[in-house]
Amino acid sequence: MNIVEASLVWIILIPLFGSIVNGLFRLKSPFNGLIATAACFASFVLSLLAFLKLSPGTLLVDPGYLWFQAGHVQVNMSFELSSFMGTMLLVITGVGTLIHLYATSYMSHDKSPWRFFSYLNLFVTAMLVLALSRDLVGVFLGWEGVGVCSYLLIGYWFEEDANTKAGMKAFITNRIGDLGFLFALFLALAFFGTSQVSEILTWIADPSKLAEIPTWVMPAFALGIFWAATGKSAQLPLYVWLPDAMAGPTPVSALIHAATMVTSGILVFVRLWPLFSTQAQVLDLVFWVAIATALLAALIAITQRDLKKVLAYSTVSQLGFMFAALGAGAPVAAFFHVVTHACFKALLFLTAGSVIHGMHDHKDIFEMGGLRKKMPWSHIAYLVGCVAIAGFPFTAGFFSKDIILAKVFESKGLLGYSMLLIAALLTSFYMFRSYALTFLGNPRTEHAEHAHESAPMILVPLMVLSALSLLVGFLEVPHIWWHVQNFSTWVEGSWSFELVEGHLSVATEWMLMSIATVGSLAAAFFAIKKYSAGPVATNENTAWKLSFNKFYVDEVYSRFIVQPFRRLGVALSTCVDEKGINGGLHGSFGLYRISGQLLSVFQTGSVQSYALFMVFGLLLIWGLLQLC
Amino acid sequence: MISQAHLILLVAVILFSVGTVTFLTKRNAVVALMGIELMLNGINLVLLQAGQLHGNAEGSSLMLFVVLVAAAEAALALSIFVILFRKNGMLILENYRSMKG
Repeated sequence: MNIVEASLVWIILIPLFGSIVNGLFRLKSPFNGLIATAACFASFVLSLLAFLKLSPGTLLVDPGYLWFQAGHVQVNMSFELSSFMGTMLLVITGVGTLIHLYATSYMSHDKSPWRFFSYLNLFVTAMLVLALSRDLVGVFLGWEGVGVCSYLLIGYWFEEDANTKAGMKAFITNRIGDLGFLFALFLALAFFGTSQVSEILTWIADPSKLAEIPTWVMPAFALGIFWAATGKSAQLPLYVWLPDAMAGPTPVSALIHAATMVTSGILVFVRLWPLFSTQAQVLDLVFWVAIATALLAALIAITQRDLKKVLAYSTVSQLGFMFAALGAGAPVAAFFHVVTHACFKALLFLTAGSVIHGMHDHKDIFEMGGLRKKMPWSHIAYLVGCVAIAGFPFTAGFFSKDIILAKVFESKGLLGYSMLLIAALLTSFYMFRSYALTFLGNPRTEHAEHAHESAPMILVPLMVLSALSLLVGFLEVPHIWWHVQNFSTWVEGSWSFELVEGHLSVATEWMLMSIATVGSLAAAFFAIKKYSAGPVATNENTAWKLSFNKFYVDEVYSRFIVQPFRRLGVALSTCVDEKGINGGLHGSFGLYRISGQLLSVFQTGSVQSYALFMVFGLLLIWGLLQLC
Repeated sequence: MISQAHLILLVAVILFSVGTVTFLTKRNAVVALMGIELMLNGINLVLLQAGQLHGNAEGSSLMLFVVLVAAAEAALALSIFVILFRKNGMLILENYRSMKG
């Protein structure tokens, strides 16, 4: 590993300045958005400059400073950039800039956009800390920071009770996950003696040291990180916050809940990959959890009526794909999907925002229809996004999903593969269902009739992201087509060891590729044919109800977890708080009052009686001294 | 055989006790103040005698301080008495109970 010193801290600090400027000076529109966009863009330019210095096997290190020290534990505020994280850095700041630009127009009619942009820039800062920190403590700082910003932005329109509740749900669910991160962090400090990622990785590469620690430590560490990832990256059982998080403004959904924050679980996984690769059982668990998540979310998405909810469940499902790739031992494939997904899901969310804007804040796709003629640019953008996520040939999703499916088939066999394939086909189905209901057919309501195309400032990011969604897949062409694999070579250079690779035969790969492609094309055409004329009259059978009501997961959680906790809280507040602590305080207060009343008898007010007490007191002391 | 020192200490104890009893029993504030002065004088005697026993000037110098404070105290107390008498027309101690708790 070739270590080069470089200054990375400004990449992080500039968005922070943007946040502070917006927060303190309450700039007017459009300056608030422009300042925020400029800050994010400056960060992007610096990222690009740093990226150009990278090569596989190079590590840019910003030594930073000693943050704190406790005993033998030293925690540095220092940053590093590997070729792997460099790619993510460009995604965060690049897609971030586009979304900021979009939001400048999107939020311009809001009451207090400066608050929005202050949060948004703060989010970018926290995400960069998460991505760049050398130390797991720093990563945790970013991890919590993005959680806070997510909470603030989901509840941005806090006048409505539902939004605040969604924000709290997201925050609390994430806190439950964060416990796993803390647990892993403590394990690392206790047993590895360090929390710096690179030091942990060298540590575990040494078999003699590994023999000294109990055998449960490594699986427990891996499980802790995975538990944290199920929270932040919305996997079973903690995914429930993500669909509700759609209460936030749409640029937030695009940036935080599709492109960057929700992938942070995968980022931490990939950074610590040498550790996870030794934990086969944990990876098995990761794989099946991911498959279940991908399938469950896809099944929910096919019946949803809210455009953003469809996209939210789609995000959960796609995150399931990424974790399935991790579970199948293919971190590069997972990360490739992170990158492509960031492009097309951000595109889809932003387009959805444009549509919702044009529809005057109506989100129900059953009320749309025929927007193809009203909003031609948004139509093209959404179509591109659908095509990319469904994995039509030569789009971004085609390349990334194909690798994941092949890896899963290779290492997990037919069962896992077919379940994931079903999820992929469902993806194609529900995306084109939402496309057909939104854009095809005739306008079904007044609002759809009077929908209007959005401003150019909104359309430009859509066009850039459309181009990216179509092209970014070519970073990694299937090896059966071309022997050069840019993306893998680039990313794998950030580890000092080789990934185990067993290639399938060329014929099998062709077969897998054609099954997935034909399947998704068929699902797409089926969806368009079924829904282009409008919503189909639903026969409300049990399966449909299950899917439409999200398999009652929220209700089950509410019944078995939230309510018992609430009852416990009420019980504690009445028994312990009211009776125990308050009662105790009141009791001791009464004691003081009574003893005070008793003692005040001696307070006669007569000087001579006081003098008498003094004399008696002195005599008493004298007598006691005589006794001793 | 009673030495001079014993005699002086005895006188001091008698002075102090008489002063105490006077202060505790007399109803008139001026007489009570006299009791205090008696107590102080008893203490002064003890201080002087102790200084003599130790053969240094510490006792007598401390006595000077006590005399000083006693003079100040007497001046202050008498002026308070004057004010109280002007206001209420009497100096009966047990009638002043405004500090009752």
